[in-house]
Amino acid sequence: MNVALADANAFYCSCETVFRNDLVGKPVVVVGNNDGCVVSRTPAAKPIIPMGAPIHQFQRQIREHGVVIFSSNYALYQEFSMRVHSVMQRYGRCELFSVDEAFMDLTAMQSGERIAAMQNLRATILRETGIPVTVGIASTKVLSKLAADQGKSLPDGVYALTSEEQIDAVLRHTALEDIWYISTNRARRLREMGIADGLMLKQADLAHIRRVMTVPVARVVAELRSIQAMPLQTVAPPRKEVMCARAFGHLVNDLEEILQAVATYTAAAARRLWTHHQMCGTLSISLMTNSFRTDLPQHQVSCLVSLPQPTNFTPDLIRFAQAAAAQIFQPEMGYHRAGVLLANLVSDSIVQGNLFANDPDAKQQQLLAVIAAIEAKFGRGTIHFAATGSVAPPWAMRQEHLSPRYLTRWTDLPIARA
Amino acid sequence: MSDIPRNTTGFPNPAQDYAESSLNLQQYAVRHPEATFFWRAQGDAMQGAGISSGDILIVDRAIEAHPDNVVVAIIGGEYLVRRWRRIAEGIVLSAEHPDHPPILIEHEEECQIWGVVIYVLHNPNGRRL
Repeated sequence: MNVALADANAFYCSCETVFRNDLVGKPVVVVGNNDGCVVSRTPAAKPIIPMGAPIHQFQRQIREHGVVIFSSNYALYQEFSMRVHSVMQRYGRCELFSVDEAFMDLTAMQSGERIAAMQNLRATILRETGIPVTVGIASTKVLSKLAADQGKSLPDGVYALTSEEQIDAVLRHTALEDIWYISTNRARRLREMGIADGLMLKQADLAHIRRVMTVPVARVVAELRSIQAMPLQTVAPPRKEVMCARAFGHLVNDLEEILQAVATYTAAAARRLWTHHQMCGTLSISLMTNSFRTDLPQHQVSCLVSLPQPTNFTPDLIRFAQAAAAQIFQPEMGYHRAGVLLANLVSDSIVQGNLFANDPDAKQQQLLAVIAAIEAKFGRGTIHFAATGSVAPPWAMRQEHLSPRYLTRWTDLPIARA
Repeated sequence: MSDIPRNTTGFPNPAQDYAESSLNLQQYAVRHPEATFFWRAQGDAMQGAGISSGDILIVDRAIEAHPDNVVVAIIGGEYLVRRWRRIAEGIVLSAEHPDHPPILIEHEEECQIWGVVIYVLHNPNGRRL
């Protein structure tokens, strides 16, 4: 009983209704890329449209029942996801498993307090973010997911799988496909082996499973038996600053060369921000002469820039870094080393934006993601920023039913009647 | 990537001479980042409370609404900015404009407090923010 899974209820639909209270209790669906298939449904929509259904095949039902359709508003869901995760992290170490699910390590809590703490977590997430979640508590990840599924039908949204009998009773009525990691294919193969439901899987011969199925399936069986086989992957505490500093190899007194070096180091430091989903609030540039060359004039100088808003957008950082370097650079000096320090790091999940700065641009983040993908595929250095990088055109999706970007655009703020 | 060897070169701590960072309005106005949302007010009913049409409202869901707080309330699926108070007969949502009489909601469950308005962003020269 030391693992919890918090799973947001119909997450995409829940995000859509935070600012559309008129739709609460109504059939609402969110469709995926290019307005194709249903990816999220409110309880009222469940009897009308199956999950994954292509909506064009359900036009009649949609009309008859007044089903409200939304295109996927990923900017909105991402913002809510980060807020929910951020609240969870107040309660303990978390593994952010997906946009709408996170595991939590409860070992630090007294066992008698866990259910109450998770009820409190659920209430806090709902009050602060408007997103309802269900929490499953159990001794392993696989069981906590089962517990969360059970909790969906409970009014208080928290379900603990405590005793062996309780686990067996739930598993007896659980289809193989409803167990984590058991895909349709794996379920079919298990049935061919005579394993028909969750309880039979739990009681299956582990050695045999390991031999004929894959290792993950064997881990699932272990976890069904309350043996932790999938450790929680909680993140290390976030770093406070990122530094990139190098010596030039020779003394440099050319501003252009300094600016180029500063841009390169800034890009390297910024890349580490993206990897850790962080943004920096300040940037410092330092320039140093070689202190061993006592025969030459010495100059050690640094300049701290408070950014108008936290960012990890490399072109912006380069622009500030170069401006700062140009300001402190003295032409008569021979510089030996330059450094860039990105500090006041925050998670890139921060709020809607700065009151007095431009939009925290979704396009910027998209660009960074594309660059990261190119680097992952073709290696680092295959793509780099020219000193003044421009933003790539937004890739267009078909989104006929897109809701406003309430949390990421000033033009799309929700409206309250005064 | 190596750190600057501060001891050997005597490189100064860059933060030392600039121990203070510039004022950050976001930090000031948003105490509960997970629970804070920006809204746009539309209408003149709250003019007496300093809220004009088009102003940006900073709304906190983490704090509890106290009597006479300006809140975003939900009535009949609609989001309203009003001053909120509970009386013996039910909940009163008052406007601050002569054309808008107070609204009495007898059944508490018909009114939901969405969040408390903690700041208003207003341009005194009438330009839309």
